[in-house]
Amino acid sequence: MNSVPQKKICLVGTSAVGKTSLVRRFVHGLFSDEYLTTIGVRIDKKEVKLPDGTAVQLIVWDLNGEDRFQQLSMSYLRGSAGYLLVADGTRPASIDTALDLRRRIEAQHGPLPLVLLLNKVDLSTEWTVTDDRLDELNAEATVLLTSAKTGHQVSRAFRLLTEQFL
Amino acid sequence: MQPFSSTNQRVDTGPRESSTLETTVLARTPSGAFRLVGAPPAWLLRFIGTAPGTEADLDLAAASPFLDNFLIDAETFWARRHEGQLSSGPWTEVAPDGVEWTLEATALWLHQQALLLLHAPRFDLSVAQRLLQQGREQRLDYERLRREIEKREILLHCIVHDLSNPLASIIGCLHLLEARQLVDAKGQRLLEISTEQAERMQALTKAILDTFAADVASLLPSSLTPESAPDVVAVARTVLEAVEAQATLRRIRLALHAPPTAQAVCDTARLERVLHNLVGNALQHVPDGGFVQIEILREQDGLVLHVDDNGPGVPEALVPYLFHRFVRGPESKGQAGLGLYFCHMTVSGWGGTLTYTPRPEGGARFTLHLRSFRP
Repeated sequence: MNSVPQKKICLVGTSAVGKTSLVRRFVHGLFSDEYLTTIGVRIDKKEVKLPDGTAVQLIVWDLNGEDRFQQLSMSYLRGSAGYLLVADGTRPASIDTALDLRRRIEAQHGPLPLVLLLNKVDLSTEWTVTDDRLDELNAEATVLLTSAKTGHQVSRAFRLLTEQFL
Repeated sequence: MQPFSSTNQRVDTGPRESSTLETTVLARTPSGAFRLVGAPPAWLLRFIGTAPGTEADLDLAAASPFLDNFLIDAETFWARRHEGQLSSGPWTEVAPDGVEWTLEATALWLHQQALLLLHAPRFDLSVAQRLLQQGREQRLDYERLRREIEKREILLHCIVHDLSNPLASIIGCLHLLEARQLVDAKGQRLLEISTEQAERMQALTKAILDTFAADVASLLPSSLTPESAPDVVAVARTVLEAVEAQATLRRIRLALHAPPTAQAVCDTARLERVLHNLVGNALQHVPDGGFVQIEILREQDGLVLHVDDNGPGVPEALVPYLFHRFVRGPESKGQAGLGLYFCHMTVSGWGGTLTYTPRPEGGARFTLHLRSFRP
């Protein structure tokens, strides 16, 4: 009998921002440069231990990217304790999509704990987020710069979200 | 038997099922549990991590987080008691034995019975993934290209802009020399030539700057709204009024055939420049005593604007390249050859088209199709 409480979290964002790669890095410690689009939902589980010793099993819902080809079903977020809003720091439009998704999620499910991840921070030469833009985003949500490729701040992102809803 | 290979296209993270799957049919009991219809397929027992008999009530919500969520929608669907079906869409989940499954659930209301089918995705997931991926990769390539073009255009814009400032100073100096009569009669002619050439260079610089701006604007998402849409007829009238004096001097007849008002996806300033370009070209080529007219027609999905003249028309050899950059007609010396390119880019940016056809009775016809706003 597993006594560790379970909490559902989701990863949302437009396509090709690295949601699946973040989950793979977090759950399996792996990364692949190959981009494979997600259709529907992929569910993984991972236990997280917080600094105070609290353990939680995260049920991680990796949702298909929202773009002109596929729309995100808001019902997937039902029952979520929180979500990671993922954008690609090399594609400014992906941040706009993320913020739009946040508005739609809050309209449907009310305010939920979230962490905004600006992923692909390893691609420094292509990075487009200025300090001013980062300040604006920080005023709206907790923001972390992450890299699924190097693992930079990936575990921290999941832990930070968990701390927000516990 | 429904053939299915659950082989996933992802990089391996663990074992996954690669056998075929039978569709599992479950009937919903009044208590909200599910009872198997027929013998349980072996894969189902592995997926839910138990070995029930056919009589046992299955707690699918406890077995699968995805089904736990989907069954809420399914209950709403069954409560309507309308024959039909509700699909969950595909999902991938790791079973208790560590094997990864990609499945789809379908809720059915059939013969007053709530049924749940668990089966392989209805469409070939690998084909769907490949097609979707191709579309997305093309989109990403387009975005990358757009950013590169933006960077390049902005750099060029800066260079040309930097050149325009000293040029303005040179023109200012030349005008001062002329105003203060600082050159003798012999030098006067040279001064006139210098001023004329410098002003021509300034006009070319402005055309290049405008075109780069249109290039960049055409690549950006449009923020035009029905509220900001101009009256296209009023814009056309303004353009014709602006060239009236020039036309009168050469006895060229100007005409506008249009409904009282008409709106489409465009903006006032750039539509005015597009029409100025087209009408200006027409005036340049029609003979004295000729005509230039704009006709505006409503179509189901927008507006059509014809700009007609009775000049010589565009030389046939030039037509395929007419809207390319730096294309100039035989009587267009001293021009940048960017006017029609600018028009084409601008109209394309609005989702419209600009085309050329020779008029059967002689002369040129440029046709703009402008989209109407979707309700």
